[in-house]
Amino acid sequence: MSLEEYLGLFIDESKENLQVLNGNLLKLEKDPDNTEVLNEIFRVAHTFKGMAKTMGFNYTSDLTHNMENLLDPLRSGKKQATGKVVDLLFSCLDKLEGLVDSIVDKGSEHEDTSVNQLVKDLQAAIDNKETSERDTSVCQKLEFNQYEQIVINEAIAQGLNVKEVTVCISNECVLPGVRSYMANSVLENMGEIIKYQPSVEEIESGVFLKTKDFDYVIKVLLITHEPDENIIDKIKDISEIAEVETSDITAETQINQKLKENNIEQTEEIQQPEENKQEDNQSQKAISKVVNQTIRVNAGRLDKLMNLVGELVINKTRIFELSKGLENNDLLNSVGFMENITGEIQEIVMKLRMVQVDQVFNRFPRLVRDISKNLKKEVNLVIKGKEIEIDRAVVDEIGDPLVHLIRNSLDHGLETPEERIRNGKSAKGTIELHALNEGDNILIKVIDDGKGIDPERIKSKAIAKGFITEEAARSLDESAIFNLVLKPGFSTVEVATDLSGRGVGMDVVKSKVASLGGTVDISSKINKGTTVTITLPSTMAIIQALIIKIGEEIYAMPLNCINEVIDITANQVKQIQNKEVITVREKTIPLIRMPEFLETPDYVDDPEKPITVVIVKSHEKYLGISVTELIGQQEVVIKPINKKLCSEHYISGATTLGNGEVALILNINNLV
Amino acid sequence: MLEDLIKSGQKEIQVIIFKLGSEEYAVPINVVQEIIMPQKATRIPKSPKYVEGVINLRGNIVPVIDGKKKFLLKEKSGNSTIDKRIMVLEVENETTGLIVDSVNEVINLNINEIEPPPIDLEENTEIFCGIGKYNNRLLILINSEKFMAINEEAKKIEAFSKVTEVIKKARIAV
Repeated sequence: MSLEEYLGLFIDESKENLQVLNGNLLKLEKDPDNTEVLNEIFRVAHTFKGMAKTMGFNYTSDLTHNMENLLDPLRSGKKQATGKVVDLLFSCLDKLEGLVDSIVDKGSEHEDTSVNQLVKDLQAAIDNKETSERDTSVCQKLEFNQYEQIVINEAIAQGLNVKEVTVCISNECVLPGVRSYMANSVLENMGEIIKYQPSVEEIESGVFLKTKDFDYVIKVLLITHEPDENIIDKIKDISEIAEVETSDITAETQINQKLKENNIEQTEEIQQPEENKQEDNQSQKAISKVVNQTIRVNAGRLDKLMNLVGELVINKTRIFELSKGLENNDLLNSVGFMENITGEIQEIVMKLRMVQVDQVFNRFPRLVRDISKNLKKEVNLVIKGKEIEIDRAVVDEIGDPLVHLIRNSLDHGLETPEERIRNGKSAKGTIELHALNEGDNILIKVIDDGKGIDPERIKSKAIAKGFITEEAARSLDESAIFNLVLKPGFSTVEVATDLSGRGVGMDVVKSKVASLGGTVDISSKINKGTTVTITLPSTMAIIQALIIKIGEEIYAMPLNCINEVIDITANQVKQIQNKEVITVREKTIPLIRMPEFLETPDYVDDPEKPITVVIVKSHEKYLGISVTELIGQQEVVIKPINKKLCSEHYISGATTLGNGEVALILNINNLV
Repeated sequence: MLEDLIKSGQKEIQVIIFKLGSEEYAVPINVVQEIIMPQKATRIPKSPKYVEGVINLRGNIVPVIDGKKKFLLKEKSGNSTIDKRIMVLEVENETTGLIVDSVNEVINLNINEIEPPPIDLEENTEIFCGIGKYNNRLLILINSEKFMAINEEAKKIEAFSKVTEVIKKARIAV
């Protein structure tokens, strides 16, 4: 197999690794001492290096190699991840992204001398001892991660002793590595070692802890029955060991440590409630477990599978109909059984298309970090509901609109820290990205606690731009005013900034969301903040539909935009400005006569018969659609049709009915 | 397309012969996915007249166009509809059905027997690869990519009818 064949795999994995790297760097920035995060970053850099080397991408492997060199002392605690270091790692990440992108485009890395610069920076950071080296004194305690804590608790609960053994090797020692190795093996014989500091690999490469008096110091966390004297004696038997200390680790010390940690978290993140964070951590863990159990599948094959399952279901229905005529009970039983199975298969296949919104959300922490730094605003991004599942097709499309909304919130919504304090708010603003299920829909909310939108300003702007007349403006309620923002060419900011304000933002958001069959809604309170809600169908592939007859032709209408169905007589239809309208509960609603509109052949209107009207709602507007007959409600699988066939876009797709015939799906959003 | 064929060094190409009206046409066999019996299509409102509608082909929604309507060929009276077929072509990753009066045979056409379109049609020759001669029969070789396009220009259709006329005359002369 040639390397070419691995390229796709390399790209996929690289992208995944970049994302993991990004997420962990953000975590590191908040919590520079988190060894778990550092280990993960190191692991990713290492994997990256390995893959890049195999593929012969020298810049990438060179860069990741040097990242590793920098990360290594960080993770062993000899350096601290200062803001500078994290920034440097972020720029490495950007460079890696650039390199991977060029690999995607051209199959090879682009010649990039800036990589060398980054490598130099990295090396400088590694050598720079002043700013980043930690105070290493002998009283420095071992730190434990969660897993180790659990082990310690367990051991104490079982009545074992947990000891921190500090071994100092004499400064004259020529081969401290060998001595430490001997000490380790002595300790290993006396109990179970749960932690080495420095790690065994580090000792091999000559890295030791240092104290005032000794250059070669190792610390080991040991679970043992042996009394202290025994341990000290046995280690002192090894030559060139200058000093041995032991200290007991008790449950108490851990509690202290925990308290300390909590304090840190509380002081650092007043904005973010503790529970929230834990929840986040937990869900993230759950996700990473899930990721491990997935395989990559070509999306085209999935679509094909879904098509075939759809056919299977249709054919099953036909067999079911046929077998009913035969009155054979055995046959009916097995057909019934088959029906259950096909139903289940269909459900599973549908679920295969669903992915977690986290795939979109995980790029935002970085985005918010960068923009807020740029704007000198303090922001806390809260992400909720990232485990919500959404159709793959939606996930691919929804990213850009959300980027727009978040940029808007950061740029226009949130105030500067000074301004916020003046208005009696905390200096740090909050942007909340919230996904939730609501019925058949999925809501994605972007909530900020910024200055809000002034409805009067919107009104005057809309009048000035000629979107509405002054008269019309007066009668608009608040939500209608906010939704004016969604009109093309609307922007209230006088000066376009780098980020937003060119008046192309919100209507792009709106049209993108509409193309996914969703809606956008804005609500806002001055000085309290703004909430933009995107409502999306949970799946693009299957919808609940009302099946109707227009003339002799069968159509499907998405159920989620249907308000009600009424019967009216011909004389209830009134004319306003040559357009037909009907009045439903004192609301005047325009009426479209579908047979005429769709140029249905051989349709004869019977003026005596009552007209069945389906009232649909889209973008807060109502529309009556006259139909010939209602057939029923049904789940239908949406299948794309050639866009060139329906130039006016009031057909959004087609579906196959139980008898194998094709019914077109009306696009209500474009009719209203 | 004809040049491509000559360049490729192939001596023969395999084509499917079908009829629209009284003329015989041919397409390279590799673009034909399958040939199916005519079936009821679902009309698409406000689509071009020659679009018959969409059909369900094993779960895929496939648009079907009527070849004769598209190229404004006259319906021959008394023509039997028994031989009507839908040729399902796959062109540029789009599957489209073409209603033809009959599908006759598959032949190997010698490249040397293909001539460029006979008259000056300016730039509008791209629907055709040329005219193929086969056992005293004249076959209009179709460039399926252009032929199946749904939003083509009127000019090309004109060119198409012209060629058809010329062929008719040529055949009478033969």
